[in-house]
Amino acid sequence: MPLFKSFSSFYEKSKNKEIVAGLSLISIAVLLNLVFGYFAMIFAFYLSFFKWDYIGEMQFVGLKNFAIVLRDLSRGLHGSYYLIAPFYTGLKNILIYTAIVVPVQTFLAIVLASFANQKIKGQQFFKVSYFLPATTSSVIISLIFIWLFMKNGFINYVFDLTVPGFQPIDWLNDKRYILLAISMVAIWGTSGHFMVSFLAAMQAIPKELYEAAMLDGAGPIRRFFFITIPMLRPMIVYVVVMGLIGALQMFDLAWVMAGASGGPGGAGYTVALDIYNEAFTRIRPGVAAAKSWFLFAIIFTTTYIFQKKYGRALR
Amino acid sequence: MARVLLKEVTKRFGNLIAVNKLNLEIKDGEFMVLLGPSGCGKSTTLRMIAGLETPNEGEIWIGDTLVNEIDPTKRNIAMVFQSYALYPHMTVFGNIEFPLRMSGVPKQERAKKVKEVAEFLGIADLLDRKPSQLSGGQQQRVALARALVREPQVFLLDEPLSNLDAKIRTQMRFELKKLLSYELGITTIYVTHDQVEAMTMADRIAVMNKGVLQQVGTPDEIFYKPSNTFVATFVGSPPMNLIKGEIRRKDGEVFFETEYFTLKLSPDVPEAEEIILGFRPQHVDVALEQKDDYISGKLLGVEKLGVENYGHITYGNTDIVVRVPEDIRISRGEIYWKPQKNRIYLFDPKTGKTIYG
Repeated sequence: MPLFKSFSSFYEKSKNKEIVAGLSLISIAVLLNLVFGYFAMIFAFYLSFFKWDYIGEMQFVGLKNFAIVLRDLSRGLHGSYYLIAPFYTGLKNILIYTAIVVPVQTFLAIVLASFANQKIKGQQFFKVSYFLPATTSSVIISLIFIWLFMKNGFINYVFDLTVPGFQPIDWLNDKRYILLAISMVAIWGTSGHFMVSFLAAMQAIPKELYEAAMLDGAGPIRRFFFITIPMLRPMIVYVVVMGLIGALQMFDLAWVMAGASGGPGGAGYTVALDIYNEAFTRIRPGVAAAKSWFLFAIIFTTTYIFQKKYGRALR
Repeated sequence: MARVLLKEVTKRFGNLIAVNKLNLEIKDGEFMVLLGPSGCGKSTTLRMIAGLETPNEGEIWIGDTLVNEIDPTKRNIAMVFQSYALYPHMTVFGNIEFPLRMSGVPKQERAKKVKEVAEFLGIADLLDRKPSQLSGGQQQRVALARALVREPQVFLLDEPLSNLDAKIRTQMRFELKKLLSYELGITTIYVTHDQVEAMTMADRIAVMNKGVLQQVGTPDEIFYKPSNTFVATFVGSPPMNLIKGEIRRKDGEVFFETEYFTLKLSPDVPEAEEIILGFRPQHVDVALEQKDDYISGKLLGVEKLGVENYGHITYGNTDIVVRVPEDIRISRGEIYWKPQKNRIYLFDPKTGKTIYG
């Protein structure tokens, strides 16, 4: 067996051993990534120039699919009804949603991490309870929150008790509130996850910096703003970028809480929902691929600009 | 500027007593070195003065104020950390400016003061850099500048030179002393485990071991009048030789006897039987031939340190180190030595206290 022999001698060289071991360890991840990541991306790019119904022959249509998306956007900008301009509706909603969710979840995660970083009795319990939502399926979370958001549900009950003159809101059936309700669930679900990231970063800040600042006359609040926040900057950039990516392609919460059509007045409709509908309801995979590329471009530019502006390495 | 007074200060970490009933006064403008091995409580003492640790018992006074209950942010104390603890996200200017900013000094005055102190320390051209772009020596100067800029009452330094390489360390040693004592006359408390630093910089040294203050005195007092075996062996390099033996009196003369040799002592030594004899390697006369009262021994080897050479002579399981003068060229074999009579110490073998010398 000359092949086997040559391989075994190749393998016996200690340097090669390391290469073979390394490559075989990463091979599964690389393979999955190639098939479901890069192949899917390239295929989607290819698909965006074709008309197809999954069964019949693919028909080249040039840039027609992109034109459909652009027309959708222009209709939306001219104030068309939401069903006529679904992509525009989804895009508008998701931008509002991102603008609410990302800042609030980042801020909340820092606040929670600061609390968890204190030497308070039972803080382990708080750490676990903050993090628990991150371990729970988003569909289950959404179902629980649908129940909490009902007109005679728990959330209205709490507001009723605390806010004088509060009128119960029909959160999920009112187009003014459904996006806000989804945002609240998203914030609740992700803040704990990012809290752990911030907590790790906080614990990596040398204690001596705080002691030096203390002797320089900085009290706890000024230590937080002059030491903690700037030292957390790389982590803040990371969390915001991850938050942006997650929020802009949000699908699961809207799907469960608002439904495939986006709930009342399309107020819970998102770009990811629209791509899904395009591909599997309207059976226009080419258009769905074109929309995916639009979404990709939006995510890429926002995160790129943000990284460029704030992501400079600290040291 | 102010004196610092510690009264019966005790600090416990769980069952461990880090500092045990410490009484110490650091005079106004004095350069005091806290010296001891790691874990002796010297850094804890410094941190208690700074307010970073709270004593379990005792009082700490700075100037005329009892500071036990005063927050470290309000003690007007500056500290240089071993790691310098520079703020990595701020420029050198920002670092030096920080304490002034915290105490509400107006912006223009801040800029003026930062420039002054930076020029004073020779780092004026580094003000726009980040700490990561500086060498160890430069970082140290920035840490010093940050500490000096607000004219603190007391200046604390926690092993500030130990992260520097040997050459810069020697240079900075004298520079620090010059700056803090001769030019500014600021009350300084300096923690180190390096006895050379202590000897060269201190006005007075406080030697600590296992949380207990062993001796306070000028470098000369510590070196020539050690109060016990710990101080005697901790200060001085190589350490003082200690030999267990007995004192015998015969015909009005006094002898120190061990299994291996007998040594004539001056007749004024106190009455005692079991005793520890101590003498420094530098206070020994060495010869190649037998002379009066000289002790013969087998030389195991010589450590050459340039000008100084130290010979190791062995008796059973006791090793004696003596300084071999430059003109005696020998590396092995028979050698004759005698400790200088007026440089001999006697210690109580039970308590370790100095009883003679």
